[in-house]
Amino acid sequence: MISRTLLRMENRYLTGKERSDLQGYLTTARTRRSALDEARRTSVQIADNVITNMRRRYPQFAQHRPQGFDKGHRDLVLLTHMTANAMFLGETDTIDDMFTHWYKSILKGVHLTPQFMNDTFTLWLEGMEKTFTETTYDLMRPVAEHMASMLSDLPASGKDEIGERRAAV
Amino acid sequence: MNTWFSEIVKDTNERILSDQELERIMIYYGGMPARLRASEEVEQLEGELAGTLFGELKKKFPKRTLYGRRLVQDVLESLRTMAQAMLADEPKLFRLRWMNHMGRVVEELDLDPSEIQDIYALIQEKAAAKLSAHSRELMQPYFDELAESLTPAAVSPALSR
Repeated sequence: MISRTLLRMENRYLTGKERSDLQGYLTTARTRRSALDEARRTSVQIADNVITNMRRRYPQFAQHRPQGFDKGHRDLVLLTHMTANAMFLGETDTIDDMFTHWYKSILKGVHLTPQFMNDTFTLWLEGMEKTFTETTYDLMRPVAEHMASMLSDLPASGKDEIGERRAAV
Repeated sequence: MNTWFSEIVKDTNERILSDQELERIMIYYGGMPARLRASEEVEQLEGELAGTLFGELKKKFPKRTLYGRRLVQDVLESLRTMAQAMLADEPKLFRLRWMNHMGRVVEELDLDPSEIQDIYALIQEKAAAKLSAHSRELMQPYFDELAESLTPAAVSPALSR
């Protein structure tokens, strides 16, 4: 938030609202730092749980994509880290410019169904809620929901590269 | 343009912020309330300067024709960039957005750099009386660098920055 706000200033001083937003953000900086540390410590565990559940729900997926779950695990750790960075910085515009739009184009290219993405992100959000302390989850949730909403908004693919979907186990 | 902060953020694409990067940012955040206060004080000072600077310069340097209201206004606007750079803790921002431009104007118009330097000296004099000690301390490096770039021997090198 700070970096973006200051670079936006062109030949002017901060507005009253910008100043008060920055002051409000600064009072939360230490808590955000701790939350980022917690996200770093637990990101692999969260990804483990999501992938375990997704293997049960989509038992044929690995036949279509032998490395799909491993790549998905790697991406979920990355996604949790990028979400933590955005939470720490207090804004999502930067992560969207650098990462979200690019990653969404990758997801479009691999023909995952919207339902598959919804299931993944639902498990990811639930995993964060179960794993994080309440304070960390409260800080991470708005950014995580933003990421889940952006990244699951994909067109339906004509190809079936997912296989059977079983009810939640 | 990038600041040290935005460069850190760009470098962390596809990885989490490191402890070292977080430490640097947290130290900066710790000093941010003082920077915000300094920026507010400079903003208040600008209001006062706008009304008095032109008259005082005329009185102090009656033979200099350069000292019109427009120039004074430009100089006051440079204070905003100075405050912005101080807020970002990024001298490069002030150099790129103001000092390089000023250096070119001084050279192209064949101006005597001391005529510009004297305006900033007067602003600093006013700032010394109006800004709190900590705000002066935060702004001082920017005034110093600007004064240095306007010493006759430094005008040309300033262009190459």
